[in-house]
Amino acid sequence: MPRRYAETRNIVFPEIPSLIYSLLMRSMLREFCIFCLGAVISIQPVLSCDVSDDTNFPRSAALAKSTNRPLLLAFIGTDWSISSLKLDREVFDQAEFADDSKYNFLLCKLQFYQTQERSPETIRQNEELATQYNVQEFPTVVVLSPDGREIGRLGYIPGGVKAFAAAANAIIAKSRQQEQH
Amino acid sequence: MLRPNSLRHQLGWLLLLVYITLRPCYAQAQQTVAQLAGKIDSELAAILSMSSSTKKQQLSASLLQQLTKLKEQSIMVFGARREQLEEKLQQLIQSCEEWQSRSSDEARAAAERAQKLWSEIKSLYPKEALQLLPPLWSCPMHQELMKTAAGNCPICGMPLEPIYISQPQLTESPIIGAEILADGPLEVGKRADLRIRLFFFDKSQPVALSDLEETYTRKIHLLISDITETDYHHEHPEPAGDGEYAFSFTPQRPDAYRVWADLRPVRTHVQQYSVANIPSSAWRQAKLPENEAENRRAEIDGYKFELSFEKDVIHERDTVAGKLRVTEPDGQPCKKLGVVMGAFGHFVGFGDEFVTVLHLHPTGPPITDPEARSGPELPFYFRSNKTGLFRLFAQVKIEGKDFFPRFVLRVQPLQRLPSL
Repeated sequence: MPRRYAETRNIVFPEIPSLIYSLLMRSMLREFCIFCLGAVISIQPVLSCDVSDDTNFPRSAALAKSTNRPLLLAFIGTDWSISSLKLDREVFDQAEFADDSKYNFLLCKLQFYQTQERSPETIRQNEELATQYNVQEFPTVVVLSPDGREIGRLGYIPGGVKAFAAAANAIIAKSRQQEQH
Repeated sequence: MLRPNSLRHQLGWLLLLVYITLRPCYAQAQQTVAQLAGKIDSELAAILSMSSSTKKQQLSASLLQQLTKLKEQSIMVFGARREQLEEKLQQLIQSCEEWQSRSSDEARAAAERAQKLWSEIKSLYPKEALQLLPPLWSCPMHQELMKTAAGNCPICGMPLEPIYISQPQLTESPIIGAEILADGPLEVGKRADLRIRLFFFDKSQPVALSDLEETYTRKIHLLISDITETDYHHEHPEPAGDGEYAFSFTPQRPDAYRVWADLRPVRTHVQQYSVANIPSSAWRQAKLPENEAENRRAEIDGYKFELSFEKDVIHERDTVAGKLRVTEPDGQPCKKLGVVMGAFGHFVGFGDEFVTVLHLHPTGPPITDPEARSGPELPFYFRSNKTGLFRLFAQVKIEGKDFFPRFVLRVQPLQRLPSL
């Protein structure tokens, strides 16, 4: 349904004597600008974007199915496990890895933080998945076929995006071969 | 209410916001399993040699506390292992209580049982859960790189930055604030003498030069730009006492100016920017041109400056090798690039929200010989974690004169899958 923009034009501001009004608005606007500016400056270093970070597992699983791609479920704890941190920085966070034209699988990072607060739902979901896939060491990357079957497992592999993607692709190729037989 | 330079007012807001955002950093950091296990290790090691009952009581209480915390923090043990872990922790707590309340032989047996249980408990954890993360440092351009000490990047020579999760005592937010003191408003074409006051946020104490570390031959770099990001200045202020530093520049535009002080406090060893506006009556009169076209060429006094990158499109979070090529007015390649602040050139980029700053340096170690010359190409690495337009200024010195060619770069978002 198209939105009706006309409504917003009908808002009438209460009439305030123009001088007082302009003074008021100017000072408010000024305060607001400074407020926003302060907020942006002070929050800015804390923000960091993680394109592949997606703790919403149901969404990733559905996307894997609808786009017919294998899904990598990565159980990692980057604030305590050094191999998880390495895997995250050397592979998952590389711009090359996010390049969807090169690597034909999805990634769902399941973070097990010790020092950061998370929502109880995320914690519960991640624990259930870890129990389901019997995760014992960190990091563990469970490779799932598009329909959700486990077809292999990976840990930390030195050698960056290329080495890791090659190992994941080998698992996927092997599983496809078996299916054809 | 409408004083154009109500600096105190602005500062109040900023301080309040900074306080709000910094507050969690000062809260006590949560202890990890590895830290707790280390404490429990040493306490259980002392258990056999202890006899005084008050000390026993103290130790037992402390053990109980650590074990409870450990149970809460053990987010990396699941399923059947988790059940075993909880059972054994319960038994361990019982043994500790027995050890504390019973006498001689029985206490000794309880203590030995506790130690045995503890080693069984430890075997239930993933290996790395019981190892402390060492302090780690990484390069802003090559984040896959991790070193256990501060220093320079072996690939591009830029100073390494800490990985904060391994050093929670360091903070990502600036610890130093800045304020500009001016006698009057700026005037186009007229040299303005200003002072910048630097102060620590936590105690509002003035920042002395000895509180700062040197980066690229100076302790304070001031990056100054107007709101349209066309008139850029790089200044090094001189101490004027009591946390104040004097500098001057000649504004070329009638717009509002902002200063980013590039600092590295001794307290954190971490580079930070302290931002302050130059008081101005022209605040927000001009706007940053939207949709300005990308531009990788510039010309000043006949010298041609050309940027090129190894990739046609620059994506966010991607480290891209770039080159600045300088051509003389007569068309010959320029080989006379002199040394500015320990390098043959510097790059400063401003984001399109007038907040983000990128400070890039050419590849390679610092140049110590002031007579050294280079050219016509200056290699460097570019990386931005933010998308959008960046106004990138190069700073090079040719025959004693500083040049600041301006380029416009677009940083594209990474490719993403279609949403459901």
